[in-house]
Amino acid sequence: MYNTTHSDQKYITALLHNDSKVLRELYQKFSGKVISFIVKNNGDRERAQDIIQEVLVTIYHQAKEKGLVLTAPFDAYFFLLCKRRWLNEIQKYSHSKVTNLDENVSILDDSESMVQETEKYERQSGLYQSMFDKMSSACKELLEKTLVIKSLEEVARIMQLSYAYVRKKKSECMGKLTQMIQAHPEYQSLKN
Amino acid sequence: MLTNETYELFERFLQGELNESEQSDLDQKIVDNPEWAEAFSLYQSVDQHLRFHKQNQEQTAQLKQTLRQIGNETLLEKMKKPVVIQFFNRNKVWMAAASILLLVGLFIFKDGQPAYVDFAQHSTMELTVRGANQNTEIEAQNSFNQGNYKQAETLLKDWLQKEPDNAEVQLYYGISLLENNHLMEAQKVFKDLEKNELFKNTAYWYLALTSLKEKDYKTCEAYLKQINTASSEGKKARRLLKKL
Repeated sequence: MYNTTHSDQKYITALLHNDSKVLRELYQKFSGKVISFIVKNNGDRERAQDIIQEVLVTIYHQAKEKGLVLTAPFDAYFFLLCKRRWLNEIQKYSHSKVTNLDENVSILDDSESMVQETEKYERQSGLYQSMFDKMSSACKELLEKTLVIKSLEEVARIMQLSYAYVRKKKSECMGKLTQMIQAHPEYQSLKN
Repeated sequence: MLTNETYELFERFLQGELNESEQSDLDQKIVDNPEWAEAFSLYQSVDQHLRFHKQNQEQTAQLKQTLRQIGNETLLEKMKKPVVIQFFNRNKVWMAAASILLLVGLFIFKDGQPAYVDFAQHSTMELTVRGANQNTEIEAQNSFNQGNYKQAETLLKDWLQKEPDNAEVQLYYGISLLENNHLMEAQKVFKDLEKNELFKNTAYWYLALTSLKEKDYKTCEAYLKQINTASSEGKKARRLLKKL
């Protein structure tokens, strides 16, 4: 099926450009439903604000790194992301009964697949980051430098090491990191 | 399990260093061997992802600040305007506000991270006021010391226009902005203050508190680490660092 960009893409663009005017409109238009859901389900406005912000930052990262294109209205996509994030959170910390679980489940295919993509992106991002954090400090230091400074020659010069050595060490650390990721149970579910 | 040589080959590919025959060998390996194909794709994905996040940290922090400010204004502001102000006297209102802050503090502590309110104890403003408009300046000082940050923000802004280089006024104006959740503006003021050698550690402390309010704990930690441990902010910084 041929998917075209939805006019609500302007909200994604606003996130990318830190455009407070359009972002304010986003909050005014779409946050009410999220707040009322969270407040009804053992939350409060402050927690709702956190959830909204976390979801918007994830969307921003996905848009910036992967070029997210909105093919469905922002409303359903955003609400479902916030709702599922809140449900995950309360299920982690308590056994509170959750109401309205099935509300809006019959959403359009486009929204649903976009939600899945965003959640997958976030899980992948979390997995990479948590495995990176577990690496040895020597590997972390070297990789941090190669991430900030694009040229390996420059990294070698700053660290006063040979280029060949830096390249070898970087590839070993990256190899180790990718193996740690592959060995994690979450990786298998992300592959599918 | 792939060898270190294989990973080095992947890295040389990323660096654009493979010659034609090495490139076609790699292409063939990827077609023939699913283990290679998967590892190669993951290697590139991890490299791109980590690089993106590292290089995008500052923009992410800026977006978070914008969102926090809009969220505070559109989602929380209405709720915070207390109708009780007409019925209670000033002291009671401040006592009520203090208990609300305490509750908010306790609530935020639940998720294991320290809360802004637990570290936001500001020194009182005791500036010698000179000049023709001293009444407004005394009023600015009193507003700040009474915790009336809305009024203090307005009056200190006027004061600063008259004395743009007065670092102390700058500091208290920044704190008022921070208290009023105008985080981006507060950050700008503290960054300016950072250039002043005498106020450098105080500026780092308040930049850390701005990040703490923003819940950007990494940036908060980075600012705290810049504070000279022998300075008057050193002790507070160590206490907060321990909680992070």
